[in-house]
Amino acid sequence: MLEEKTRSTTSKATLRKIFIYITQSATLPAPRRHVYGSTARITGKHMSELLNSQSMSNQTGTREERAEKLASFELAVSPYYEQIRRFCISKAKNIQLGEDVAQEALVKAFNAWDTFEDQGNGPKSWLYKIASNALTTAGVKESKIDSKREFVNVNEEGIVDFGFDQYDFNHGEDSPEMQVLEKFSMAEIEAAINSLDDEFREVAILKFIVGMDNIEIAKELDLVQNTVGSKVSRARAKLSEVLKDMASSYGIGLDEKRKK
Amino acid sequence: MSENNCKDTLAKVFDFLANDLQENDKNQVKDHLSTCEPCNKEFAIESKISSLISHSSIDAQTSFASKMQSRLQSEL
Repeated sequence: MLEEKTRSTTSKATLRKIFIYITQSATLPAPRRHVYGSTARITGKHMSELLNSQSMSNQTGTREERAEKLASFELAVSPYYEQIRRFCISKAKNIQLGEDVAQEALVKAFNAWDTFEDQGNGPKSWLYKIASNALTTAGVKESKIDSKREFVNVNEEGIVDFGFDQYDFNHGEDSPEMQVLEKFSMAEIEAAINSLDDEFREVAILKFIVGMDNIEIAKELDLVQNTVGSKVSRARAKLSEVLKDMASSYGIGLDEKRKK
Repeated sequence: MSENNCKDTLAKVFDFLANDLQENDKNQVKDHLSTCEPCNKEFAIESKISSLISHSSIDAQTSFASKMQSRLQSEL
């Protein structure tokens, strides 16, 4: 009875959209994929056209000098990659666009690395400025830079003890849904988030992709904090619905394949 | 009564997983989940989804870093 309630409120059309997204980007089932660059999304090249970036690429200097430039850039800037990525996603409120703008901004920063003068505080605010310009160029409405905001990097968490014995699927009846869920990774989570209605998608992106807390989300979306709280809960519930629907559809799909 | 408990508990599961509940609400959820198998099963799925979401965030981070690395290599 409980299962029925949680089952299938995602429309067929939405599921079809998700299928198209997934089948274009990856094959399932697959374990966690770390290589994501090959998936079908707006490519960096496409983005350069979009951003109309005149090639700032300065192919000067010997090979060694350029390699040295890359090494020094990576040493100084790679600790900020993730912050810039999350900043751009939070402003674009769109995962793909945000990532592409972040990548483009960081490439611009690299090409202009010779012009960066460290005032003693490192490249952070310089990078935020470049990212902010790239966002504007990409058509993202201009917004205040809050480079003081720290986007906390997520760490691998261990097994969480909730203070009671959890249901053990290994000893219970076979749950194909759970088995398929086990194999989900980034692509499926992103597809599920992208399938949500606008008002929930924005919140879900800020909460689950960028990792903002409710106060920050309230500021970003100009909402009352209480509203954010309930939106986050509802977005999370909808996300579950979509993922479970995806899992059970895949489960059926897998069974059918097995029969052939 | 018991059905109400199930409904209440499942409504609080997301906040429980996000550690957003007051102490007494938290205990209520815990008490119910340790005695109600269907809810416990549902909780296990939700908990799986939560860890999936946070893992995917780590994956996204790693893959962006490696994407940047190869992109900058190609700029050389």
